[in-house]
Amino acid sequence: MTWFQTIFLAVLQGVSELFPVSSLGHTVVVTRLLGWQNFEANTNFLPFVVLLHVGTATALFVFFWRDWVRIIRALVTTGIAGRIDADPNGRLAWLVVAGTIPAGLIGLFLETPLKQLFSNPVIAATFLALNGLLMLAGERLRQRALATSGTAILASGGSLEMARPGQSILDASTPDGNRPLTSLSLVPAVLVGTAQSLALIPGISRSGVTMVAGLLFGLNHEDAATFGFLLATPLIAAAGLLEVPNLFAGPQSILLPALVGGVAAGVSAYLSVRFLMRYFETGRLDPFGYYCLVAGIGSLALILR
Amino acid sequence: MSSTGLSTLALLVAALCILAGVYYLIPNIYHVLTFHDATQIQVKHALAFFAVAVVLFVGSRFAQSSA
Repeated sequence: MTWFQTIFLAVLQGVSELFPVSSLGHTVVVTRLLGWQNFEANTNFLPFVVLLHVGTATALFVFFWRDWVRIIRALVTTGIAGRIDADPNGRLAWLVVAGTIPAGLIGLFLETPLKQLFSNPVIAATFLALNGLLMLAGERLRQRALATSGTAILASGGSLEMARPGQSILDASTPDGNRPLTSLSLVPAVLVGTAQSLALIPGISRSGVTMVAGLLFGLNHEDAATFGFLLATPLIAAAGLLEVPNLFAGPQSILLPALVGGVAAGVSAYLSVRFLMRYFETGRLDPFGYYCLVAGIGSLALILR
Repeated sequence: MSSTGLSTLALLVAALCILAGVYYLIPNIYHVLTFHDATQIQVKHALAFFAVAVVLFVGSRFAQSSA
Protein backbone atom coordinates (compact mmCIF):
# COMPACT_ATOMS: atom_id res chain seq x y z
CA MET A 1 0.00 0.00 0.00
CA THR A 2 1.44 3.37 -1.00
CA TRP A 3 1.36 6.49 1.19
CA PHE A 4 -1.22 8.03 -1.15
CA GLN A 5 -3.46 4.98 -0.75
CA THR A 6 -2.95 5.06 3.04
CA ILE A 7 -4.00 8.69 3.41
CA PHE A 8 -6.79 8.40 0.83
CA LEU A 9 -8.37 5.36 2.48
CA ALA A 10 -7.95 6.85 5.98
CA VAL A 11 -9.68 10.10 5.02
CA LEU A 12 -12.37 8.14 3.14
CA GLN A 13 -13.00 6.04 6.27
CA GLY A 14 -12.98 9.04 8.64
CA VAL A 15 -15.44 11.00 6.51
CA SER A 16 -17.74 8.25 5.25
CA GLU A 17 -18.02 6.51 8.65
CA LEU A 18 -19.83 9.55 10.05
CA PHE A 19 -21.51 11.05 6.99
CA PRO A 20 -24.64 8.98 6.26
CA VAL A 21 -23.10 7.44 3.15
CA SER A 22 -21.61 4.06 4.31
CA SER A 23 -17.87 3.77 4.86
CA LEU A 24 -17.81 0.04 4.08
CA GLY A 25 -19.77 0.55 0.87
CA HIS A 26 -17.44 3.36 -0.22
CA THR A 27 -14.33 1.32 0.58
CA VAL A 28 -15.60 -1.69 -1.38
CA VAL A 29 -16.83 0.36 -4.37
CA VAL A 30 -14.05 2.99 -4.55
CA THR A 31 -11.21 0.46 -4.26
CA ARG A 32 -12.79 -1.53 -7.10
CA LEU A 33 -13.29 1.56 -9.28
CA LEU A 34 -9.67 2.64 -8.71
CA GLY A 35 -8.44 -0.87 -9.46
CA TRP A 36 -6.99 -1.36 -5.95
CA GLN A 37 -7.34 -4.54 -3.93
CA ASN A 38 -10.03 -4.56 -1.22
CA PHE A 39 -7.91 -3.70 1.80
CA GLU A 40 -10.81 -4.22 4.27
CA ALA A 41 -10.98 -7.90 3.34
CA ASN A 42 -7.21 -8.48 3.54
CA THR A 43 -6.19 -9.78 6.99
CA ASN A 44 -2.61 -8.50 6.46
CA PHE A 45 -4.01 -4.99 6.74
CA LEU A 46 -5.77 -5.66 10.06
CA PRO A 47 -3.59 -3.11 11.96
CA PHE A 48 -4.57 -0.49 9.40
CA VAL A 49 -8.30 -1.20 9.79
CA VAL A 50 -7.95 -1.34 13.62
CA LEU A 51 -6.22 2.05 13.85
CA LEU A 52 -8.69 3.66 11.44
CA HIS A 53 -11.50 2.62 13.81
CA VAL A 54 -9.56 3.75 16.89
CA GLY A 55 -8.92 7.12 15.19
CA THR A 56 -12.59 7.58 14.30
CA ALA A 57 -13.81 6.56 17.77
CA THR A 58 -11.27 8.92 19.39
CA ALA A 59 -12.59 11.79 17.26
CA LEU A 60 -16.16 11.04 18.39
CA PHE A 61 -15.10 10.83 22.05
CA VAL A 62 -13.22 14.14 21.77
CA PHE A 63 -16.13 15.93 20.06
CA PHE A 64 -18.75 14.64 22.53
CA TRP A 65 -16.46 14.52 25.58
CA ARG A 66 -18.78 16.63 27.77
CA ASP A 67 -21.70 14.31 26.95
CA TRP A 68 -19.58 11.23 27.68
CA VAL A 69 -18.46 12.61 31.04
CA ARG A 70 -22.13 13.22 31.93
CA ILE A 71 -23.17 9.80 30.61
CA ILE A 72 -20.46 7.85 32.45
CA ARG A 73 -21.06 9.81 35.67
CA ALA A 74 -24.81 9.16 35.34
CA LEU A 75 -24.23 5.45 34.69
CA VAL A 76 -22.22 5.15 37.92
CA THR A 77 -24.60 7.32 39.97
CA THR A 78 -27.81 5.59 38.85
CA GLY A 79 -26.17 2.15 38.90
CA ILE A 80 -25.15 2.60 42.56
CA ALA A 81 -28.45 4.24 43.53
CA GLY A 82 -30.45 1.54 41.73
CA ARG A 83 -32.85 4.24 40.53
CA ILE A 84 -32.86 5.71 37.04
CA ASP A 85 -34.39 8.98 38.21
CA ALA A 86 -31.49 9.59 40.60
CA ASP A 87 -29.75 11.63 37.88
CA PRO A 88 -31.32 13.69 35.07
CA ASN A 89 -28.75 12.31 32.62
CA GLY A 90 -29.37 8.76 33.81
CA ARG A 91 -32.16 8.17 31.30
CA LEU A 92 -30.00 9.15 28.31
CA ALA A 93 -27.08 7.11 29.66
CA TRP A 94 -29.14 3.91 29.93
CA LEU A 95 -30.81 4.56 26.57
CA VAL A 96 -27.33 4.58 25.01
CA VAL A 97 -26.46 1.33 26.82
CA ALA A 98 -29.76 -0.33 25.81
CA GLY A 99 -29.35 0.82 22.20
CA THR A 100 -25.77 -0.44 22.00
CA ILE A 101 -26.40 -4.00 23.22
CA PRO A 102 -28.41 -5.46 20.28
CA ALA A 103 -26.16 -3.96 17.62
CA GLY A 104 -23.08 -5.12 19.55
CA LEU A 105 -24.33 -8.70 19.83
CA ILE A 106 -25.53 -8.84 16.21
CA GLY A 107 -22.18 -7.44 15.07
CA LEU A 108 -20.28 -9.97 17.18
CA PHE A 109 -22.20 -12.94 15.79
CA LEU A 110 -22.95 -11.88 12.22
CA GLU A 111 -20.20 -9.47 11.10
CA THR A 112 -17.97 -12.14 9.56
CA PRO A 113 -20.65 -14.02 7.57
CA LEU A 114 -22.35 -10.80 6.44
CA LYS A 115 -19.09 -9.27 5.25
CA GLN A 116 -18.20 -12.47 3.41
CA LEU A 117 -21.66 -12.61 1.86
CA PHE A 118 -21.97 -8.98 0.78
CA SER A 119 -18.36 -7.73 0.24
CA ASN A 120 -18.87 -7.48 -3.47
CA PRO A 121 -18.71 -4.15 -5.37
CA VAL A 122 -21.95 -4.83 -7.26
CA ILE A 123 -23.87 -5.64 -4.07
CA ALA A 124 -22.27 -2.70 -2.22
CA ALA A 125 -23.23 -0.27 -5.02
CA THR A 126 -26.79 -1.64 -5.06
CA PHE A 127 -27.13 -1.24 -1.29
CA LEU A 128 -25.61 2.26 -1.53
CA ALA A 129 -28.46 3.23 -3.87
CA LEU A 130 -30.96 1.55 -1.51
CA ASN A 131 -29.40 3.48 1.38
CA GLY A 132 -30.20 6.67 -0.54
CA LEU A 133 -33.80 5.58 -1.09
CA LEU A 134 -34.10 4.68 2.60
CA MET A 135 -33.01 8.17 3.69
CA LEU A 136 -35.29 9.90 1.17
CA ALA A 137 -38.24 7.71 2.24
CA GLY A 138 -37.44 8.38 5.93
CA GLU A 139 -37.49 12.14 5.34
CA ARG A 140 -40.80 11.94 3.42
CA LEU A 141 -42.44 9.86 6.18
CA ARG A 142 -41.24 12.26 8.84
CA GLN A 143 -42.44 15.35 6.95
CA ARG A 144 -45.83 13.68 6.44
CA ALA A 145 -46.06 12.81 10.15
CA LEU A 146 -45.09 16.38 11.13
CA ALA A 147 -47.68 17.83 8.74
CA THR A 148 -50.38 15.58 10.24
CA SER A 149 -49.22 16.51 13.73
CA GLY A 150 -49.38 20.24 12.86
CA THR A 151 -52.91 19.85 11.50
CA ALA A 152 -53.98 18.05 14.68
CA ILE A 153 -52.50 20.82 16.83
CA LEU A 154 -54.29 23.53 14.83
CA ALA A 155 -57.57 21.57 15.02
CA SER A 156 -57.25 21.35 18.81
CA GLY A 157 -56.86 25.12 19.11
CA GLY A 158 -53.09 25.01 19.34
CA SER A 159 -52.84 23.19 22.66
CA LEU A 160 -49.76 21.05 23.12
CA GLU A 161 -49.57 18.13 25.50
CA MET A 162 -46.53 16.35 26.80
CA ALA A 163 -45.95 13.07 24.97
CA ARG A 164 -45.59 9.90 26.97
CA PRO A 165 -42.34 8.06 26.16
CA GLY A 166 -42.99 5.45 23.52
CA GLN A 167 -45.85 7.34 21.87
CA SER A 168 -45.71 8.10 18.17
CA ILE A 169 -44.49 11.31 16.59
CA LEU A 170 -48.10 12.47 16.36
CA ASP A 171 -48.10 12.81 20.15
CA ALA A 172 -44.85 14.77 20.30
CA SER A 173 -44.72 17.62 22.73
CA THR A 174 -42.48 20.39 21.39
CA PRO A 175 -43.89 23.28 19.34
CA ASP A 176 -42.05 22.10 16.21
CA GLY A 177 -43.70 18.69 16.56
CA ASN A 178 -40.50 16.90 17.61
CA ARG A 179 -39.79 14.90 20.72
CA PRO A 180 -36.83 15.70 23.01
CA LEU A 181 -34.13 13.01 23.04
CA THR A 182 -34.51 12.40 26.78
CA SER A 183 -38.20 11.51 26.34
CA LEU A 184 -37.34 8.54 24.12
CA SER A 185 -38.38 5.31 25.84
CA LEU A 186 -36.57 1.98 26.07
CA VAL A 187 -38.15 0.18 23.11
CA PRO A 188 -37.54 2.95 20.51
CA ALA A 189 -33.97 3.34 21.82
CA VAL A 190 -33.36 -0.39 21.39
CA LEU A 191 -34.91 -0.31 17.90
CA VAL A 192 -32.78 2.70 16.86
CA GLY A 193 -29.73 0.87 18.21
CA THR A 194 -30.69 -2.35 16.44
CA ALA A 195 -31.04 -0.44 13.16
CA GLN A 196 -27.27 0.13 13.36
CA SER A 197 -26.73 -3.55 12.60
CA LEU A 198 -27.94 -2.98 9.04
CA ALA A 199 -24.66 -1.13 8.54
CA LEU A 200 -22.90 -4.51 8.58
CA ILE A 201 -24.09 -4.71 4.97
CA PRO A 202 -21.67 -2.71 2.76
CA GLY A 203 -23.59 0.22 1.28
CA ILE A 204 -25.93 0.75 4.24
CA SER A 205 -24.84 3.66 6.41
CA ARG A 206 -24.77 3.32 10.20
CA SER A 207 -25.46 7.02 10.82
CA GLY A 208 -28.05 7.06 8.01
CA VAL A 209 -30.19 4.21 9.34
CA THR A 210 -29.97 5.35 12.97
CA MET A 211 -30.97 8.87 11.95
CA VAL A 212 -33.91 7.61 9.89
CA ALA A 213 -35.02 5.43 12.82
CA GLY A 214 -34.62 8.35 15.23
CA LEU A 215 -36.60 10.67 12.96
CA LEU A 216 -39.40 8.11 12.65
CA PHE A 217 -39.60 7.97 16.47
CA GLY A 218 -40.09 11.73 16.54
CA LEU A 219 -36.60 13.10 17.19
CA ASN A 220 -35.39 16.17 15.29
CA HIS A 221 -32.34 15.89 13.00
CA GLU A 222 -29.88 17.24 15.57
CA ASP A 223 -31.02 14.88 18.34
CA ALA A 224 -31.24 11.93 15.94
CA ALA A 225 -27.66 12.63 14.80
CA THR A 226 -26.42 13.08 18.39
CA PHE A 227 -28.07 9.84 19.54
CA GLY A 228 -26.73 8.02 16.45
CA PHE A 229 -23.17 9.21 17.13
CA LEU A 230 -23.43 8.36 20.85
CA LEU A 231 -24.65 4.86 19.92
CA ALA A 232 -21.94 4.42 17.29
CA THR A 233 -19.00 5.46 19.50
CA PRO A 234 -18.79 2.38 21.77
CA LEU A 235 -19.23 0.04 18.80
CA ILE A 236 -16.61 1.72 16.61
CA ALA A 237 -14.26 1.88 19.62
CA ALA A 238 -14.89 -1.80 20.42
CA ALA A 239 -14.32 -2.79 16.78
CA GLY A 240 -10.88 -1.19 17.06
CA LEU A 241 -9.83 -1.75 20.67
CA LEU A 242 -10.81 -5.45 20.84
CA GLU A 243 -8.47 -6.08 17.91
CA VAL A 244 -5.51 -4.18 19.45
CA PRO A 245 -3.95 -7.43 20.77
CA ASN A 246 -3.80 -8.59 17.13
CA LEU A 247 -2.14 -5.35 16.07
CA PHE A 248 1.30 -6.93 15.93
CA ALA A 249 0.17 -10.19 14.34
CA GLY A 250 0.46 -8.87 10.78
CA PRO A 251 3.55 -7.59 8.97
CA GLN A 252 5.38 -4.95 11.05
CA SER A 253 5.93 -2.77 7.97
CA ILE A 254 2.24 -1.82 8.01
CA LEU A 255 2.40 -0.35 11.56
CA LEU A 256 3.72 3.12 10.69
CA PRO A 257 1.33 3.65 7.76
CA ALA A 258 -1.47 2.30 10.01
CA LEU A 259 -0.59 4.85 12.70
CA VAL A 260 -0.52 7.70 10.18
CA GLY A 261 -3.81 6.41 8.73
CA GLY A 262 -5.37 6.33 12.20
CA VAL A 263 -4.41 9.97 12.81
CA ALA A 264 -5.70 11.01 9.35
CA ALA A 265 -8.98 9.13 9.94
CA GLY A 266 -9.32 10.75 13.37
CA VAL A 267 -8.75 14.28 12.08
CA SER A 268 -11.15 13.82 9.14
CA ALA A 269 -13.75 12.21 11.42
CA TYR A 270 -13.50 15.12 13.88
CA LEU A 271 -13.99 17.68 11.09
CA SER A 272 -16.87 15.59 9.70
CA VAL A 273 -18.76 15.31 12.99
CA ARG A 274 -18.23 19.05 13.61
CA PHE A 275 -19.65 19.86 10.20
CA LEU A 276 -22.55 17.39 10.52
CA MET A 277 -23.68 18.60 13.96
CA ARG A 278 -23.84 22.17 12.61
CA TYR A 279 -25.51 21.01 9.40
CA PHE A 280 -28.23 19.03 11.19
CA GLU A 281 -29.25 22.06 13.30
CA THR A 282 -31.30 23.00 10.22
CA GLY A 283 -30.36 20.57 7.43
CA ARG A 284 -32.04 17.36 6.35
CA LEU A 285 -30.97 13.93 5.07
CA ASP A 286 -32.18 14.54 1.48
CA PRO A 287 -28.82 15.69 -0.02
CA PHE A 288 -27.13 12.55 1.32
CA GLY A 289 -30.01 10.45 0.04
CA TYR A 290 -29.68 11.87 -3.46
CA TYR A 291 -25.88 11.49 -3.31
CA CYS A 292 -26.11 7.79 -2.33
CA LEU A 293 -28.70 7.14 -5.02
CA VAL A 294 -26.58 8.75 -7.75
CA ALA A 295 -23.29 7.30 -6.44
CA GLY A 296 -24.81 3.82 -6.14
CA ILE A 297 -26.38 3.76 -9.60
CA GLY A 298 -23.33 5.47 -11.17
CA SER A 299 -20.91 3.00 -9.56
CA LEU A 300 -23.10 0.11 -10.64
CA ALA A 301 -23.02 1.36 -14.23
CA LEU A 302 -19.21 1.79 -14.13
CA ILE A 303 -18.60 -1.64 -12.58
CA LEU A 304 -20.96 -3.51 -14.94
CA ARG A 305 -19.97 -1.78 -18.20
CA MET B 1 -45.70 -7.71 33.64
CA SER B 2 -45.23 -6.50 37.22
CA SER B 3 -42.03 -4.77 38.28
CA THR B 4 -41.12 -7.68 40.55
CA GLY B 5 -41.65 -10.15 37.69
CA LEU B 6 -39.57 -8.00 35.35
CA SER B 7 -36.82 -7.77 37.94
CA THR B 8 -36.77 -11.56 38.42
CA LEU B 9 -36.76 -12.15 34.66
CA ALA B 10 -33.82 -9.75 34.23
CA LEU B 11 -31.90 -11.62 36.96
CA LEU B 12 -32.62 -14.99 35.32
CA VAL B 13 -31.44 -13.79 31.92
CA ALA B 14 -28.38 -12.22 33.58
CA ALA B 15 -27.55 -15.62 35.12
CA LEU B 16 -27.91 -17.26 31.67
CA CYS B 17 -25.61 -14.61 30.18
CA ILE B 18 -22.96 -15.38 32.85
CA LEU B 19 -23.24 -19.09 31.97
CA ALA B 20 -22.91 -18.26 28.26
CA GLY B 21 -19.87 -16.09 29.00
CA VAL B 22 -18.22 -18.92 30.98
CA TYR B 23 -19.06 -21.35 28.14
CA TYR B 24 -17.09 -19.22 25.68
CA LEU B 25 -14.10 -19.24 28.06
CA ILE B 26 -13.85 -23.04 28.19
CA PRO B 27 -11.08 -24.21 25.83
CA ASN B 28 -11.14 -27.30 23.59
CA ILE B 29 -14.90 -27.52 23.19
CA TYR B 30 -16.91 -26.45 20.16
CA HIS B 31 -18.33 -22.92 20.52
CA VAL B 32 -21.48 -22.15 18.59
CA LEU B 33 -21.81 -18.95 16.54
CA THR B 34 -18.08 -18.51 16.08
CA PHE B 35 -16.49 -18.26 12.66
CA HIS B 36 -12.84 -19.09 13.25
CA ASP B 37 -11.01 -21.32 15.75
CA ALA B 38 -14.34 -22.54 17.16
CA THR B 39 -12.62 -24.74 19.76
CA GLN B 40 -10.46 -21.91 21.14
CA ILE B 41 -11.44 -19.51 23.95
CA GLN B 42 -13.67 -16.73 22.55
CA VAL B 43 -12.80 -13.71 24.71
CA LYS B 44 -14.91 -11.19 22.76
CA HIS B 45 -18.02 -13.35 22.99
CA ALA B 46 -17.44 -13.93 26.72
CA LEU B 47 -16.91 -10.22 27.40
CA ALA B 48 -20.09 -9.35 25.50
CA PHE B 49 -22.18 -11.78 27.54
CA PHE B 50 -20.65 -10.62 30.85
CA ALA B 51 -21.37 -6.99 29.88
CA VAL B 52 -25.00 -7.83 29.08
CA ALA B 53 -25.26 -9.66 32.43
CA VAL B 54 -24.05 -6.54 34.29
CA VAL B 55 -26.55 -4.34 32.42
CA LEU B 56 -29.39 -6.78 33.17
CA PHE B 57 -28.40 -6.89 36.85
CA VAL B 58 -28.55 -3.09 37.05
CA GLY B 59 -31.82 -3.17 35.06
CA SER B 60 -33.32 -5.57 37.60
CA ARG B 61 -32.49 -3.10 40.38
CA PHE B 62 -34.20 -0.32 38.41
CA ALA B 63 -37.28 -2.53 38.02
CA GLN B 64 -37.23 -3.34 41.77
CA SER B 65 -37.01 0.34 42.70
CA SER B 66 -40.07 1.16 40.59
CA ALA B 67 -42.10 -1.62 42.26
